[in-house]
Amino acid sequence: MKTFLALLSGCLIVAIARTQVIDTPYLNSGDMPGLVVTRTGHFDGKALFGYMDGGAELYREYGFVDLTVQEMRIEDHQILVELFRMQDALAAFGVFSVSRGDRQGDDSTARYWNQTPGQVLCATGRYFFRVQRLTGGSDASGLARAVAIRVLHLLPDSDVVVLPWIAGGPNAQAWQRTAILVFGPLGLQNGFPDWVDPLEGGDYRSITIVPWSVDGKPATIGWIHCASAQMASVLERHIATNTRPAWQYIRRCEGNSFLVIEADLPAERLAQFARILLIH
Amino acid sequence: MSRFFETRDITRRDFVKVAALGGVAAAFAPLTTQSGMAQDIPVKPGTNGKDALRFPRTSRSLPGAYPGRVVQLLNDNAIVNDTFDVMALHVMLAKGMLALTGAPGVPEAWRMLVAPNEIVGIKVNPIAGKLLSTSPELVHVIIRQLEAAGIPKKNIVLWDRRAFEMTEAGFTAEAFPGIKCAGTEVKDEKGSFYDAEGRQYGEKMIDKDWYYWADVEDKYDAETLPYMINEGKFSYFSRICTKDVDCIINVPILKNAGPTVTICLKNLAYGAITNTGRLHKQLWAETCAEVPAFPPLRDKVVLNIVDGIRGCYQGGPAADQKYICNFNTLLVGTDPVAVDRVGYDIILKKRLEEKIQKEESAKGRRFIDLAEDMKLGVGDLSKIALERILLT
Repeated sequence: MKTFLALLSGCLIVAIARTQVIDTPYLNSGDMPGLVVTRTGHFDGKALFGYMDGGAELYREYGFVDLTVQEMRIEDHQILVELFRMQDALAAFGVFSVSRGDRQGDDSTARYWNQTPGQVLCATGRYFFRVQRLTGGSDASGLARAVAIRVLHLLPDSDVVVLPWIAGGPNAQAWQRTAILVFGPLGLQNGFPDWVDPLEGGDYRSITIVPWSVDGKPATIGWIHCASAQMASVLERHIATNTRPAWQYIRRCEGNSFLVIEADLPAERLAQFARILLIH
Repeated sequence: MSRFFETRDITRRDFVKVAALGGVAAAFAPLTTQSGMAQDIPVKPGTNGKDALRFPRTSRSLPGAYPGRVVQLLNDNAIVNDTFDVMALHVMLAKGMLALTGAPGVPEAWRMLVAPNEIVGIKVNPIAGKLLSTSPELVHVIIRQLEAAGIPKKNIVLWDRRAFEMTEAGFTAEAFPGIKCAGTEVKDEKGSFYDAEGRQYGEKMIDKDWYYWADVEDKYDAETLPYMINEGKFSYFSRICTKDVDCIINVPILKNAGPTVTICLKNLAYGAITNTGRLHKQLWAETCAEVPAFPPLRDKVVLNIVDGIRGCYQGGPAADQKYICNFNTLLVGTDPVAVDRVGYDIILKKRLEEKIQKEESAKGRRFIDLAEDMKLGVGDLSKIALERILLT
């Protein structure tokens, strides 16, 4: 009887694993001239560990739903498509914002699109996807873009994500494009590592970081949102006592949130700049 | 046989005895904190890492024959137009082995670390796919040099956690005829992790006599479980390293993980045990430093060869093409802590140059400091003898 039950449960596990239905959009062979899909894989929830092991933690931090991975061949080159469905549009934007690095290759289209030789990153709605060319030199550099555009057409149209701290403020459009949205330590490590140490151990819900410049000098603006007013106070004190001198300005915005500016500016000029931010 | 070939059999009884003491010790271990914040402080879960220190060391224990010594080989022509130059790799590795060991010839250099009758496991890293895995070209070069030193192909095993990822990265029986390719997590030809009786193939590949215990656990769904093999607070060592091989040549690649790096120690630690999903978030540095301190790794790893021909400085450990670059570098050394320290500086320098970060993060080197505490090698750069060899 025990053997039978073990056999039955084993078969059930195998059956569940095999009958998984992929309900996210994906490419098929022939969707583009010469396109041959050679592999399609799908990873739900924690199964992301199976695909990328520790790399999965970043996506889990933002709220990961599932991933569809496709390898394909086109014009004798191999292309890898990774389509992440996140829990909402902010999560998708957040992962995009910490993955695109120095924003070289950003495209100011309606969607978040970053293109470098051989790779395209894009966030649209609750989807974040990466298209990478696995083989081929510069002659094949347009392939990743062509495939990415095809993937984009598969996804539902969606409004542009609006970051709450930025909307309505000065330079809102430009800030929106440069902003880095952090939901936890891994997002910070990937998206803005210079703030890892000052915020080490800090308990925050999100940080919206905008690398900017004031009077020609670099100024990094951060809106830090915590789960409670008490947590915000603790983190505020921590930053005030543990950061470099350039962290000149810290001011509570609302109960749970506060503004920090890291900039080497005269106090008066900094306060003036901060006032403009706080008004909005 | 040189002193480096002495071995000591550690019995299950020895380990259970030591582990039992350690488990109790871990339960009462002082709680450590991540920062100086007075409240809301995350507490580090306890582990059995210190148990590893109780096992008597052998003459072969890490940091191995050359503590604190690292040879860096640089050759701008090692990769041209995305293609590895195998001859350039051969020369780089040969010169590295000679410089490391001081041997009169390359075969002699290898025989100072590996005996012809031993089963040699070459630990590769294929987890980031084709773009960012240990290069099969370099592994071919290692195998050729081992053969020239008298180690027959039948005594060589290429291994990693996931057999299927090895296949995807090019480590196949067809590409490496006569060499065994082995993984702890195994799928059959139908893509299933389970045999006809519903038992994971991976369960047969682990050795429950050896484990890393940590007071943290994660529940895995049915899809994830076979990638982890087991749940709970125990991570078991792969029998590939506890039983199947006599010595290990570690061949990681040069890549970052946020502001830190994943090179020798990470490749060993997370590549040799099960149930790693639970360890990433809270115990990453501890796992990297403590798992290699257990005898199945500590007493078997004889050499580290870091494949830094191609690597990455941001976006790692996954492959993000934007940050993949040609470091054109091999690092060679028996001391994984010293090699990681040198590799860390290479990646940090690139991150600073590329303005990924403005200054070093204190977190970056934590696992190196912990590994030094575990007596696995030298982490202080001022005490590391680094020899740089430029080739053209």
